[in-house]
Amino acid sequence: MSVSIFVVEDERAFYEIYRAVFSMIGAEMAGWAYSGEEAVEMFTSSSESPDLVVMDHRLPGMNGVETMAAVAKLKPGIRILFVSADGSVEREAASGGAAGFLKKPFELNEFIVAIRNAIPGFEGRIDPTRAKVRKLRGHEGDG
Amino acid sequence: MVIVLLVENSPGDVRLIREMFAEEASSSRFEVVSVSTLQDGIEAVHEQKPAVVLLDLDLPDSQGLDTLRLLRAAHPAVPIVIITGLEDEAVGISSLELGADDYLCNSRLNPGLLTHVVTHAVQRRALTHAIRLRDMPVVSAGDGVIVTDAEGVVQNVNPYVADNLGLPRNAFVGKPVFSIVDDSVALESGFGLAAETGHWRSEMRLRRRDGTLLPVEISANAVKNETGELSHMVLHFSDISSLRPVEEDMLLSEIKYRHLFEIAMEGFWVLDADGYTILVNPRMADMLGYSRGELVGRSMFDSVLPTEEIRAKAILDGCATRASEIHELSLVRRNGSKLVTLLNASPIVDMDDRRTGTLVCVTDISYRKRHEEALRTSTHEELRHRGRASTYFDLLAHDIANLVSPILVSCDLARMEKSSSPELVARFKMISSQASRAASLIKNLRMLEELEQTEIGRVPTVDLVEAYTKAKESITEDDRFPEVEFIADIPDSGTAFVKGGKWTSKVVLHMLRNAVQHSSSEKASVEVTISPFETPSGAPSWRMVVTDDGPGISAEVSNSVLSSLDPGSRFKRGVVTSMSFCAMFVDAFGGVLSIDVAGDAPDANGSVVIMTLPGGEK
Repeated sequence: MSVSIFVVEDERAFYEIYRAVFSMIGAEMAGWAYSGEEAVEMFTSSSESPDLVVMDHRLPGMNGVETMAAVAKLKPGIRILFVSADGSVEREAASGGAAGFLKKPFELNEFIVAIRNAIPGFEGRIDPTRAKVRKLRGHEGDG
Repeated sequence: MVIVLLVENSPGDVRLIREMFAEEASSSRFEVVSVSTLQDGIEAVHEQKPAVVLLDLDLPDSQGLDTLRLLRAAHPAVPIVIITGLEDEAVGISSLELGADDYLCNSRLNPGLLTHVVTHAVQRRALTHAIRLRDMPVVSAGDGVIVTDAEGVVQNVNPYVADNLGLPRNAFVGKPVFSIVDDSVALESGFGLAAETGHWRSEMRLRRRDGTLLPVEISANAVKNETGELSHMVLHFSDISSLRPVEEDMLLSEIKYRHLFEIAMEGFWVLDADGYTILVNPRMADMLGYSRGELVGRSMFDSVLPTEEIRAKAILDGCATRASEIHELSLVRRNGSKLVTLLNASPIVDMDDRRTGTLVCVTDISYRKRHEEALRTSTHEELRHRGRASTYFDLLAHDIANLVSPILVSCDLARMEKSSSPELVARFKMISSQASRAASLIKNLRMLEELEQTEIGRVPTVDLVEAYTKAKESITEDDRFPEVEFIADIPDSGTAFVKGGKWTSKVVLHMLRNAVQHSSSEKASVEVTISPFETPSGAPSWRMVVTDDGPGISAEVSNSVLSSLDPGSRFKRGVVTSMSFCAMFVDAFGGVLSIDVAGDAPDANGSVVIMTLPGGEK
């Protein structure tokens, strides 16, 4: 089973990491937004719904909780994995309907476990042979 | 030019005196100004500021000595020479006593005498003024000062002399200084020495009014005039007596010590030879949460953390030979919470040198006490500042977390790359391990920050058994840890609710991770026991004991592991340990965290981490 994961995160360093991890566990990167506003824009114009959204809290502009509310309106029932260094946001995220909460800084294991738990039925077994960075459609030339 | 004010109403006498001044060879120095009434005279002193006043006592608006009195009252400083028309020595002498500088009989006036007396009057005033200036520090000195003339006749004494010898100041003036010492011959010869060499020093005794003697150190300094002749002697003396009654001293000592005992910031604990409390000071009782009466008769060991009882006994026993050693010891308060202290024990012996007890001095070094104190004394400004630090902390934590996460994940990914050599894998493992500890520190700091913002009373209880189960799962799934065998002994009821919410869960996770990491075997073995526990105060609690199969831990290391967050911790070992955070979390909820060795040293096998927490409702 292959799942698609959309990421809302403004820190570029996570981009490469997430891509490698998703690929390793058999998930596809559905898309990447650097801000909540961009995420809303992308969801508005797209008919597809990812299996999971990995949502950072501290974003330029709208924060994670606000973005989550906006995205949930656009795609009701969408699963969101909230990621933040701020543990106090956990309650807000939960009441906003988040499927999971992951505290930064996290390790590889924690990340994988969190993704698995957030998507019911997804085993997400690690295949190291797939841990190579692949260029994704639509993101060629991105820095 | 010397201005002479002549207050004289007889025009004949005025002319006479003017002519006398003119005749004198050096008369060009003098300018004579004359007035004919006392009132004019008083005004003229203001306006002309004469160097000397020649005053006739019989004037139209004043007669006799009253004239002098009135002028003196108006002008205390100006030199006055009386001119008396009567050959009356008595009037002259009386006028001296009333403040005139000299007197002349106009029947015996001649130019030489006139100018001589006038000049002398001016000079003497100046000298007296100079001496008075020099006397000023003398008057206020804390030592005794006596000024005598060249013959030793006292001219002036300062208040200190009067106070110490029990006589008014003017009782000394005019008397020879040698009469106030008991060995006058010694002072006379000293006086002579000082007159020659300028200086002399010795010890002698002064005679008080009541006949008693005051031992003093005396130093004499000669004062010479312009011609080099001795004009004055200034004697300093300071009290060197130390004759306070012995009983008075002892009483003062006792009062001082008793006062110290009562108000001391340290705890004082007086024990008998078997370690039972004889007496405590208020501070000690407060530290432990008892009243002073409650502690009397109780064994000190009742208030010592169970795992420290052996060490406490060793401290008491060994203090006879090592009295100045300071030990860190954890005590237990009445409510079961831990009190970290520094203490020092010294033996109490009777007159035959037999050991009858121990005096223990205790200083509280628990972090929390200091923290509470800081909060209590915080000003509004400080609280506001803390608010800023708190916000900044959030941003920092976020940014650091963002930096550390990619490091962690990258390292893990790199380790998993097939192309990575074993050396590279090992290196990435090391980087990952360091970054992981950094991540752990940040998370712990975060939790501490959250704890400080939280109302302790509102924190929900947590089931120790559930916390243990979750922690076990997390460790088992984590491939960084070796294979672990958990041996658990949990209560029949299956649950153990304690205070501390997510903080307690965190502590449980740390305790297990700690145990696993200490293991040196391929397959680690960790024993976990959760059991009900009754604290000295009787409050229902739960105790969780985690034992590993590692090499065990020394007391010194166990202290540092738990206390590296304490300000002034003597055992700083690099990084603040997660166990220190745990100790703090546990303490915040009224519990106790301690580390000990399994089995009897030196054959100890493994370390034991013990957590006790007050129980709570589900």
